[in-house]
Amino acid sequence: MYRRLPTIVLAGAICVVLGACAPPQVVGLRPQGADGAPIRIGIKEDAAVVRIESEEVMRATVGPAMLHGHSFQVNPGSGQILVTGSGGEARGDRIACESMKPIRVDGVAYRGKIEVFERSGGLTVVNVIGLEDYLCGVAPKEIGYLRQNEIEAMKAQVVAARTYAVAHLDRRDSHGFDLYGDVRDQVYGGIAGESDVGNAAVEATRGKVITYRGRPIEAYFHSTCGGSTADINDVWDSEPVPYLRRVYDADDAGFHCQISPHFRWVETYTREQVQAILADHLPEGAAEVPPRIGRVRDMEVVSVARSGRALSTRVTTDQGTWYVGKQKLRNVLRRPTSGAPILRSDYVRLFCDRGPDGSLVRLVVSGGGNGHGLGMCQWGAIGMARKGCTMGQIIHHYYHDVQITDYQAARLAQRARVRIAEG
Amino acid sequence: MMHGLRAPLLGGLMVAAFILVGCPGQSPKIGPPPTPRAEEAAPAVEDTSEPPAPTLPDPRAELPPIGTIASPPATTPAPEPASIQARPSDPLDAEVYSVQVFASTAEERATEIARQVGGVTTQPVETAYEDDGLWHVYVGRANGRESIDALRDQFRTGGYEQAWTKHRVVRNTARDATLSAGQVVYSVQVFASSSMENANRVAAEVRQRTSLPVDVVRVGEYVKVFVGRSPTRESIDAERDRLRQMGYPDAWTYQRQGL
Repeated sequence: MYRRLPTIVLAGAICVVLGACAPPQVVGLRPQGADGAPIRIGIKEDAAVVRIESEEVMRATVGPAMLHGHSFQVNPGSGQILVTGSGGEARGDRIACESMKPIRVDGVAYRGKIEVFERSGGLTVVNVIGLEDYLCGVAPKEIGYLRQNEIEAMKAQVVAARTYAVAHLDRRDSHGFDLYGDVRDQVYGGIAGESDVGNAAVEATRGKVITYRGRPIEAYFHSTCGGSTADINDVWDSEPVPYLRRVYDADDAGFHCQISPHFRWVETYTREQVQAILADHLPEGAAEVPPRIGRVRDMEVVSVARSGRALSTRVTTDQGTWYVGKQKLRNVLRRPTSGAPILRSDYVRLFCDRGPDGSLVRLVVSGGGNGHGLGMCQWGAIGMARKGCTMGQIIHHYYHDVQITDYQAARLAQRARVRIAEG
Repeated sequence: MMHGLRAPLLGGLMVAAFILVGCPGQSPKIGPPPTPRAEEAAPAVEDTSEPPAPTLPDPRAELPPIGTIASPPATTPAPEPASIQARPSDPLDAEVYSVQVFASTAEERATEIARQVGGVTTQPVETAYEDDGLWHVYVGRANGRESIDALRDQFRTGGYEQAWTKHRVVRNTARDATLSAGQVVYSVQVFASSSMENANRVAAEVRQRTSLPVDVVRVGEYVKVFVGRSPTRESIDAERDRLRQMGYPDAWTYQRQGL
């Protein structure tokens, strides 16, 4: 009997610890992800006022106070937020709201919990949500609302998005959340961003991430590669990354992304447009640009990567010559349309038409693709899915020598490596 | 002896596993972003294992000739008539003047011409299917004829010899079967085509760039992409301007009426 005592004590201790670790369950909420990992998404920053509503009575914790109600208004105070609602008002560092129904923040509905706190005089709103639920609101916003026959592309997008989230969880710590819910990290639309195909893709890939040597990768993706993705060092001033190498994006049936509206495009600039755009934006991509750049005489891509992307573009005016490196070309040679958005890609050929006196009269840009060209081409993934490729085939096509791993397994392997490294 | 040790051993293993796996049900803090280590970096040699990217075409043969529109002489810049620059307030179902630069039974050809024209003018370019069974390409909208005549002359000089001024009714209202009977909302139309696939593509693109609802609706010969639904016009006009800034220069405010 006494010899079994250590076992009994041990088992009891484990039960106590397990019980203490179990999160409080809120009945009615969708289950958090299989791994239970909550993620904090920053959905607003620097807001002057925030309105929080739900169809069910919410429970709001404001410091030591507890409020109940269908709606609350949050205003910043001097160091503390002020929460007002039908259930009363309270002041505190932050408000944390839970409900059995989705919570709307200024009209947009979210799963999970909502937190609001003051930072730098404005209000920051954070959606605390399970990783898998978060991905439901991300995938369609990133790749589009795909049809059932394109679900393998959606699954690839989900796994890439999950990998991105896992790999960047600490990125925005100083802001009080993990990731922005917009293009600064991944576009997140809450419940309105979800789709049946997206939700099914999340369910089918639950917990899966892309790893290289056991660690989650930088799962970059972009809209359209135009026929070839890029090496990372062709796009940015970066060291080569083994899994972010160029892919010739075609099979016997043609280019995977040729269905994209951005597969091939043309921009035509009048002399005046070239002059005005370069005068405004050349300093964004070249050094030592004077206030007056002079009359533009020529623009030429002088070095091209095997992915077709411009490595160096020379701009010549009657005041000097400047070189624009890699992706900076997109910021310099902006599109000649209202708002001057950046060029769709740097996979371009430039054609300078000249008048009888040799002066530049028109610049024509023949372009391919949309986005930086790294990692997965989203339209290419859609094209591959339509051709019958699986999620795994899509991911292994765009990311070299990677594994598709269960997230927990990747985390365990990472921990084990850390322990070995620490001796 | 061995039997006596088995239970504590199992207990110890469970503790070790627990420490390794972490506390079930509690959120694990996920690892930091991977920064490729130097020894993992691929050698910086040119990758010749894959074919090079395809050479992009020279599209100039398909573009309109260089003329006063593509490149007006520096000494005589082509100022747009004030009434065009101001852009009227886009009344719904209004009578307007526009320059018709092209008409064809082939939608693809009209779309291509519209794309070309869009590259040489700052005016809105529209492709419209009309009762004559043709796809028309129009440039500009104005309440008065004078400014449009001036624009027409610019296009003729620029090589569009068939350009002419047309007085037409712009119907920015749509009967929409997706709305309930009697429902009236304002939306921004960002795209219209005869192809459902093309409309769905554009809709998917727009959805990534706005949090407003995006609807793909068949209206007569067209499949249209509408953004936003509002009972009042002001907010939709603001959204229309924002979408134009975002690269949809042919965004228009529409009134949609449920059947």
